[in-house]
Amino acid sequence: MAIDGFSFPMRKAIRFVLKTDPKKAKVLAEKHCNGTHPTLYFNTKSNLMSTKAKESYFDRYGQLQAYVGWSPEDATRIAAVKQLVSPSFPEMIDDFYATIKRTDDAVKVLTGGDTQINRLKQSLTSWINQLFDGNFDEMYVDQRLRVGHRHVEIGLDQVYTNVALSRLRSSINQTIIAKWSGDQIELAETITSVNRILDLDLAVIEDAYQIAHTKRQKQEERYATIGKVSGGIAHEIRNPLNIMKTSIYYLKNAKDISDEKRDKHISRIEAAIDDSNLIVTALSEFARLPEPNLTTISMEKLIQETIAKNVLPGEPFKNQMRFSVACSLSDDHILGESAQLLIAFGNLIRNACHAVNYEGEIDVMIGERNGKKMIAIKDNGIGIEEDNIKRILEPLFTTKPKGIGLGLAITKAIFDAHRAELTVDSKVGQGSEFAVLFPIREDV
Amino acid sequence: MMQLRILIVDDELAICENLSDILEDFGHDVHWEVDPESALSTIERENECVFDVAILDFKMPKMNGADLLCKIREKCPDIVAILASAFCDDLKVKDSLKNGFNQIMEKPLDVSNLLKLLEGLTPLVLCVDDDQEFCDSLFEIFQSKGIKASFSNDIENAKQIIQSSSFDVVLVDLKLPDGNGSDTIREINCQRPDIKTILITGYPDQLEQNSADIPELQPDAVFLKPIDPAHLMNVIFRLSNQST
Ligand code: HEM
Repeated sequence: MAIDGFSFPMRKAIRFVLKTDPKKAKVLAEKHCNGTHPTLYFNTKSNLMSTKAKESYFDRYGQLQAYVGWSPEDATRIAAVKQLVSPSFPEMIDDFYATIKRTDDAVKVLTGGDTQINRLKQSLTSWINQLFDGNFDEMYVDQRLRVGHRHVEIGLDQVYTNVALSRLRSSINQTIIAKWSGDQIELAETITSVNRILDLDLAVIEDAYQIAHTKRQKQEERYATIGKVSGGIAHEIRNPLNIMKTSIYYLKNAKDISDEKRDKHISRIEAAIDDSNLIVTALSEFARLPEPNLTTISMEKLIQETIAKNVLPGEPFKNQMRFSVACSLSDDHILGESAQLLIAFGNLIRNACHAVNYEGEIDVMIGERNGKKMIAIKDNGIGIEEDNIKRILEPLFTTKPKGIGLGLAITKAIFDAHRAELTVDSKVGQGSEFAVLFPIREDV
Repeated sequence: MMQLRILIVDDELAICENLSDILEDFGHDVHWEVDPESALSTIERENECVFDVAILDFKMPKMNGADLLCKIREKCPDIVAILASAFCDDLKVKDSLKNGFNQIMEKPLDVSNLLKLLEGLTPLVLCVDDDQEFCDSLFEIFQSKGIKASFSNDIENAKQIIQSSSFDVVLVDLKLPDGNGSDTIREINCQRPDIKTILITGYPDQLEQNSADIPELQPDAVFLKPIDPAHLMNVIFRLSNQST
């Protein structure tokens, strides 16, 4: 990590904040840089993207390179032409920003006045210098992706990155052609190489926009679900409130209340409070469900732990209910967050126990289906009516007299967040099978 | 307050019992069901409608409150229907007002509002008859049912009372010392179309002469002496809540 252009205490402060809050570190750095745009290479572990995500983005960059037909000679040619073009960088950059200034929609994201423009010019200078250094390593890609994220952040319409780069491309190409004195074939190759790297740079910026878009979409989906659930919750919670309110009215206003009636109403109020609490707990579990923190976990271990947690030894039904867990995979590892999956499978196991009335058979199969790793929980219990099968995954649907219908909805939300697919197969009187298919690793 | 026959249907047993405890404490006659279908069979078992008011939940298994009310109204077209729902912002519930509910109340229920609403259903009655004995016995019946009533022995006096108070229903005897009951009713209907009128007579043969009248000016109901008090109460209740 390089933190240049700061006084020593400032560097120390930024290093400290970087460890805990990289965004804040950046704000701090910018606030204290007095118009000079320091090079902040935020490529430590603690940065915006986790190391793992960055690694996988570098992989993706490799794929993009392969697609455009990138070779090491491209890098060599680009580096070789730097001497020729670099004297014209200031001109190109002036033209770049003059064009922005002429374009209302582009200029409106420049909210920082001349200071910002100067900073931008410096940013672009180091950007273009880095480009012609010919070092397209992991740090380069990381920086390029960050440039993309920065433009998303400032709210720049994506088309302007396209047209701005097009203009920059013309300037660069014209300069090379004008100053070229060597072999014409080599010139053509050099131009091709420069175009390749510019296209890759643009692709990375587009990726940043795409990533932001997907993230926003996911967020919106989440809000929609939370909205739907909380609407339903409002209804569920008004029921116990209604009971409390009417019981209290009776206790306060009725003329002659027998002891028996009084006790009945008081315990009714208590029960309604307990019910409300249950609903609130379930809701907060649901609403706070964060994005899973994926690690590699063993499915068999997960299931054993789930059963141990949900079917306590020594409970009366233990003897009559039979559990079997069979694993047919040599490698039973998946990516997932075990804390969340424990909740999800816990719900499925508990539902199965209910369905067999604590005395039937529950088989857990760990295997493969449609090429995907699968955990299936099968019981020989009461089964689900056909009309209800579709609805059981909806928030607030329940067939249990005392249920509030969040269990399976939470379960489904957890599997959704894991990009896992939950399928239900059931016949009344014969039993149900809940199967969870985990994504093949590349889709995660 | 008038003693009402109230039907409560809510799939939450505790709510049925709570409302029943409260409303019975206020002297009402309450019947509740947690299952809409058994509520319907209770209603269908009787020859006539045995309820004045229905308090219905909206979201229930098998049938929602609006569909239930439609079926109830087949037997009880004039029942006063109150929807008690926790889903009041739901569009389906809003449509229910159009579906024939007289009132929507939000859950958790404001009980004193509910009681006020029920109290507002009590008709204010004026009875015009020179038969003092008949007036006395009506007075007793009204009082036992919690209906507020005024009495007048002649038309002149009755006209004055009508102006001073907002009656829902006026009962008029056909033969009065200072005029004819049919004419009086015609006059009331003309001047005060909001008031419902009932003609009472011991002489059915004398009714013919008015049959040519336009319907709006005719009495809303005709009772022959001796009258059936329970039937009269039902008609009064029904008529008075038609006008609101
Ligand atoms: C493809 C063409 C472009 C390239 C290569 C480019 C390059 C850069 C770079 C390297 C930075 C610094 C990023 C950082 O802070 O880490 C930056 C920031 C920025 N760019 Fe661009 N840019 C391009 C197009 C545009 C356009 C068309 C606009 C339109 C106004 C624009 C406006 C900005 C702004 C407002 C910032 C933030 C400056 C600040 O406050 O520090 N960029 N750009």
